[in-house]
Amino acid sequence: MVLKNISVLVISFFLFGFSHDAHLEKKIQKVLSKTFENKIFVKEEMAVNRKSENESWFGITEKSSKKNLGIVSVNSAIGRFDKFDFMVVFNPNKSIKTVKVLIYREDHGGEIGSKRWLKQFEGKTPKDANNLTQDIDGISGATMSCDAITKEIQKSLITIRNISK
Amino acid sequence: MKKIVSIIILSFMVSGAWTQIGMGDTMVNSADRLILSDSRITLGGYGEIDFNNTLPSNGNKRNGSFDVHRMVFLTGYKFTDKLSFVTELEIEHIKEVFIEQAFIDYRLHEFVHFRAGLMLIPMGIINEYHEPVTFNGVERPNIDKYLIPTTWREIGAGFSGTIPDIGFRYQAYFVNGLSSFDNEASLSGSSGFRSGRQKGAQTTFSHSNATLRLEYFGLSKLKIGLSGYIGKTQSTLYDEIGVTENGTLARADSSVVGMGMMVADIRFKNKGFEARGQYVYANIANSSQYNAMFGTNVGSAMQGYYVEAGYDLLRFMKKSTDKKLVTFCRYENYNTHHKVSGELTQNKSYNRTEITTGLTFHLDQGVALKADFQQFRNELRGSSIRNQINFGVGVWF
Repeated sequence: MVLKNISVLVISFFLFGFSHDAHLEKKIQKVLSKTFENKIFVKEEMAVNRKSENESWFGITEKSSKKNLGIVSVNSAIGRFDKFDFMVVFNPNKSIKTVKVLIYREDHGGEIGSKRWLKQFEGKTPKDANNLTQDIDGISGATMSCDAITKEIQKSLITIRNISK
Repeated sequence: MKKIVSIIILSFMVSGAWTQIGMGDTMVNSADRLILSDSRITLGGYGEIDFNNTLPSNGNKRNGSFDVHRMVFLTGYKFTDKLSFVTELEIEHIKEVFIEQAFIDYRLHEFVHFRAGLMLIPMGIINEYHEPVTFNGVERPNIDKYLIPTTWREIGAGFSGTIPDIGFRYQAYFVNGLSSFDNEASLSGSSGFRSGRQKGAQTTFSHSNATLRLEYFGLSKLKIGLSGYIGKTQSTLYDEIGVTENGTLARADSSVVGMGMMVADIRFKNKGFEARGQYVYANIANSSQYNAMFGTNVGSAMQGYYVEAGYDLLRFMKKSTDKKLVTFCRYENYNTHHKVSGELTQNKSYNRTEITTGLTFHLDQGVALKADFQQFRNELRGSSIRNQINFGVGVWF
């Protein structure tokens, strides 16, 4: 793990001009492969009446059976000084399967990337949207980032409620 | 919540062109819209406007005081996705201007940031996170005033980073330190290190200092921090000392003290319940020579702690709300004469206990109205208890 991190550090120096979008896309693919393991899937952008400017929605379907595996929102929010990118994977029944922070840029508030903290969102459904800010316990010292991601996910839950799929 | 606003929006606001732009079925104002775009400039800030009044005792009348305690304006600029600059301009009591932070942050790797400039010393909770809506009580805990001289910032450089999957955050910096002598002695028995802050203004540098903070947040609802600081204070007496001038060097050596500080802190949040605690121990080496030279009464060790618990009363309401009404109580004890050395005898009045009870009403995540009652007492025989009431408005955006 440590060795790998060091090599990533070294490589990232060489790849300084690496495109941001490609980097983000790679992260998204990694999360999807992990979430839908052993499945070959297709990711298709969906036209959605979204509530956040930077949000993109994707439908995930199994390649062979065309079965709906889930819906994904890729979004960003602002922490203390800078924006961060994250994604929400929804089950076909519109409950949250998993939330992952993809790129966190600033030094402050990086705690929200913690798996344990993000687990709080799992299983939430559009019905939970109204109470979401009360249900999610913030992290001391990462208040702004916690609030920001919670509010964005709240909006996504409202958005997905209206998606007919 | 956070404001990333371009210069364009500023000029829009000035010209009054505050328009509403429809987006789907929601209305978003133009500021919100631009916040979501990739802007390079971040604006933000926080402020505290307080009222303090010591309650009358023995029939003596005591005036209260209204004060714009501090207003802090934050500006950040993003040069690239990895390189940014952050600065906070602080105005205290309307007339004192300071720079609270001014540093560059270079993201070398997901888990490694390089920082250089004027930075906050990561000792305990409040020195790093002192925005008024993040803590209860109009006034900050006093161990974060006298033992950790909040807002303690120094010029230096180092590394920081967060590894979220294992719940770990670290900060390690080499910095300039507090001053113990700048034409006069600046440390004292009663206020500890408080007057030693150089605030990054034409500082004296004679000894390098180092600080390290480790945080663990891998357990849910809980955050544990451990900070360490080691070094020596700075003194102007080192200027132009020759190698052979033993007497002068000894004099300069007596004008500095060795500092070793350790802080352990814990924060817990679960639904409407919140609690926090902090313990500080500071060792001051060479205090007897320092006192002998300047006639001061600096202790050889300081110790303090506080524990605080609060509960959001609005949780009792059936209806869901974003507002919070937190009732809290904080118990604090600190002793700037925890240990003394040499001729010095302990001053019992420096062993202080404070109990703060009050309410924090969060109208929004960024706005808090505060009211509390404080009791101050010390261990000196025959000393009286002082009572104080405080009201405050705190904002953070």
